[in-house]
Amino acid sequence: MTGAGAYALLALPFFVVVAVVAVVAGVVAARRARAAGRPASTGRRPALVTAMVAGIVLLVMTIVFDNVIVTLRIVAYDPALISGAKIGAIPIEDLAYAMAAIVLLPSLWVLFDRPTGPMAETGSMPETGPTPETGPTSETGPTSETGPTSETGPTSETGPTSETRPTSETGPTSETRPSQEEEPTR
Amino acid sequence: MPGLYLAGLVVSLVGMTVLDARFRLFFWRAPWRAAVVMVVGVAFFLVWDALGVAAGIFFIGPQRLLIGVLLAPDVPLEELFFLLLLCYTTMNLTGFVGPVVSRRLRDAERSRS
Repeated sequence: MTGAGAYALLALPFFVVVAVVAVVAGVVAARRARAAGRPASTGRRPALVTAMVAGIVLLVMTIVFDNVIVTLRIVAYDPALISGAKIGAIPIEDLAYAMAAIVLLPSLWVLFDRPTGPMAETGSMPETGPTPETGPTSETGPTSETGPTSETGPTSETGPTSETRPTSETGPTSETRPSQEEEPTR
Repeated sequence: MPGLYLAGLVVSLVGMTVLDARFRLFFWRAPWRAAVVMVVGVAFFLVWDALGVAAGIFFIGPQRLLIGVLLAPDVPLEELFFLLLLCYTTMNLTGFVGPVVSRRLRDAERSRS
């Protein structure tokens, strides 16, 4: 690969993969919704809005982070192989990673949900689809951090819980993913 | 100072873990599912990196901040941690924003009807 378009061109096949995975995730989510007796479009809009909002935040974070590591010369680019369009110190093509991530990873999250076990499209799915892995900790009480889910380590039950409680309107833990759309919890 | 970048990445990852635990965003919502998403995501971006390096587009600059361990030519150990951070941040963000968006949309729906 040569020329100023090389870095942009590199992203292309990966974007194609991301798009395919996203479409498949959308189809699977629609089937699950239908199997649960809801419109196939259930959860589509929240999922898209979430990706937009989270994507903007992620892009901002990426611009800051990448500017730091490029300025520190941890990573460098062949000036002949990038477009030359920059945001601060970073080539604009760098943003492709974040753009791919915000679509690919939530799509994978949807695909790897196994509501009943084998594969998703069978008809008998529980409404909110608590996955086998989440077990009892998924929707329930706030104090169960020590439970079976704490495989990622020791930080779980420590300090942060004692700090500012997000009493506002948030509390994202009490609900499921936008892509699988749940009944109102309140 | 060698190790500074890695230290920064590890601190950030710990921060992500704390947020995850506190708000039950990703691993604390479904640990196995989260683990699979992370593995596939990081693998995907490592392939991307490998091709970029192979094409000569990006490479390690003249710095003194890496510890010097390479996973492959011009792919430092730190890149693995960076990709873990990218994926974890993405999913924590999605896990946090998702329910808020859902609720807002639902409230809007309700107030319309």
